Amino acid sequence: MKRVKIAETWEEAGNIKAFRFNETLNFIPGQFIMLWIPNVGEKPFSLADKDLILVKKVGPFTSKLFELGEGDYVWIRGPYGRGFTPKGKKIALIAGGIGIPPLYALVKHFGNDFEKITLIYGARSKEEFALLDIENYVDEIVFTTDDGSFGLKGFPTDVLRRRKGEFDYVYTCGPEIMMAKVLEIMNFKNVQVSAERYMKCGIGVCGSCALGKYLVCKDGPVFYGEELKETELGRFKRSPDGRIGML
Amino acid sequence: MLSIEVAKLKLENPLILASGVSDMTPALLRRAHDEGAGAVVTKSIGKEPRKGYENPTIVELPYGLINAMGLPNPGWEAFYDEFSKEKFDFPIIVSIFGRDEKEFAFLVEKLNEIADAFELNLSCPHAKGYGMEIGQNPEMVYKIVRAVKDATDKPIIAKLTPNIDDITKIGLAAEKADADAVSAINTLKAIAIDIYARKPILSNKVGGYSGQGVKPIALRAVYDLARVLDIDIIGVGGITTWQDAIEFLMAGAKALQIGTAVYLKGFNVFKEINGGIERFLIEEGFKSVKDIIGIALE
Ligand SMILES: Cc1cc2nc3c(=O)[nH]c(=O)nc-3n(C[C@H](O)[C@H](O)[C@H](O)COP(=O)(O)OP(=O)(O)OC[C@H]3O[C@@H](n4cnc5c(N)ncnc54)[C@H](O)[C@@H]3O)c2cc1C
Ligand SMILES: Cc1cc2nc3c(=O)[nH]c(=O)nc-3n(C[C@H](O)[C@H](O)[C@H](O)COP(=O)(O)O)c2cc1C
Ligand code: FES
Repeated sequence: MKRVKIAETWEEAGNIKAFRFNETLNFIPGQFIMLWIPNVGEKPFSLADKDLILVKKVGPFTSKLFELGEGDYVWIRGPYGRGFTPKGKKIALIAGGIGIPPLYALVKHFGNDFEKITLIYGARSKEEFALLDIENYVDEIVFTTDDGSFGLKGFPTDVLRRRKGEFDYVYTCGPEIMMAKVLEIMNFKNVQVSAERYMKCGIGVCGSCALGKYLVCKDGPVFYGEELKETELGRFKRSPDGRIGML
Repeated sequence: MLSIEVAKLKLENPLILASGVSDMTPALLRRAHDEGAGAVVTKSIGKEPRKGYENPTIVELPYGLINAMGLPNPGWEAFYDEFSKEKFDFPIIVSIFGRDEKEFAFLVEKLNEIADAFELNLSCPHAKGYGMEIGQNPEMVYKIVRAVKDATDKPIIAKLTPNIDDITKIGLAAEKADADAVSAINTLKAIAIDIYARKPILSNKVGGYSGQGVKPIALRAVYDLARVLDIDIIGVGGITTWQDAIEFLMAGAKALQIGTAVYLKGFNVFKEINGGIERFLIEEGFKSVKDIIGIALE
């Protein structure tokens, strides 16, 4: 556990805030940290960069985090887990909602490994796109919104289905139903998925983040498509007590 | 060479996945067996679902972990629903916890068809009213083991706490009540403070220490128990290398459980330790792992 100071924060999109720490971490894109606020709790967040996380306000912990600003302290441990392995030349990033941080990290740090990068990014409305300066690292951005109020109407997976032939490799992070669709479209091949499950220890000892025979915090959070074939991804997840529940 | 019988269970090898360590789902239990465990113990199951304590629930230290998970578990009904649909080709030891002998007996009756054996968690150091709080009392231990033995024909393993002046007192109580084996040890009560936050790190404040740092203490517990008990002993606590495993066997443990080392080395730790034990036996001229059990007691 290490105390770090928040160096800056800003509102990146509606209900999404960026937090930059005053210390840089040695990380592989796709890895995450556990962030502790004393008396509040400790939760997992993907690193968007060596000193940056991007957080969507969804509940008690993230609400408390949103109250913190420059000069305040938070405690972190990590980075943990398996990150992305750059593969393919003409790649697509399929992002949904707050799935953007690990994909941003991927293209910022491994961008030179690829020839053409297309970001296909879906959200409910224009205000929800959290882009940082990703336009510097990708060749093309396709936006989709559920109601067509911005970009194309529909889901990122609709675009992937149409343009699949243009890409030799796909990276995805976002709502689980979307990622399951991506796997189906790609027939589980040439895809890396950044998965999520309820995390407690974050280090592969408690079993809370079970996904099939894997532990998301240690064997993932990034998985190869083939590995997820026989897991419950897209079907169910477990609650903190281990019971099977809805996605 | 490695096969062994412990608590009436036949194991391909003496290594068992310890309770509470990545063992909440059938798929994870199968993986532990695929990667070399001779048997597995499930997460401790209670009467009701429990989500466990809020994070932080774990502290990483140089020689181990302090955890206060708070006995998260799906409750016996959801556990039964999921596990009764599964078939396993290796022994499943179901760990259970309760407030008193009635709850333990209730759980044993409900889960009887799933378990090849039961392990009674009489030793969790951080859950109010459960585990250690009853497991420090020899009369309670006797009462619970007795009640459970009356409720099932399946082998019963009593898991003992090291947080007591003399562990043999509770070991003897379990034996007197007809337990088939004891396992020792559960974690040691411990705490960690963050000096900048100026407070305990765990949300529950205190937790249980496991891993390399507790090995000498666990080994001594097994050694002391082996000198007074006739029933089988399963050694647990800090076993990380094959040399550790051999020490526990020589101290009188018939089988061994591995927890924290699974986090250090991955599930593959089972194969690694089995391989080391086998090499040692060959090099030192032993025919079977049975030949070294308890030889350091003589
Ligand atoms: C590997 C990983 C990376 C993540 N990266 C990011 C990120 O970059 N940005 C971001 O905004 N969010 C990220 N999350 C999700 C983030 O952890 C949750 O939004 C946060 O824990 C919510 O806490 P809360 O108290 O505000 O909300 P709650 O009301 O407690 O929960 C809201 C939802 O958040 C999820 N959640 C809550 N606690 C946990 C937990 N311990 N582990 C996993 N999921 C939980 C659940 O789906 C829950 O339904 C990530 C999760 C994982 C597993
Ligand atoms: C994260 C974690 C959770 C645990 N949960 C349980 C549990 O539910 N029931 C139990 O009897 N022991 C539990 N234990 C204790 C272990 O089974 C074992 O007795 C102890 O960790 C010592 O062995 P080790 O050093 O190999 O980990 C837990 C240990 C850890 C680290
Ligand atoms: S969160 Fe504990 S094993 Fe993954």
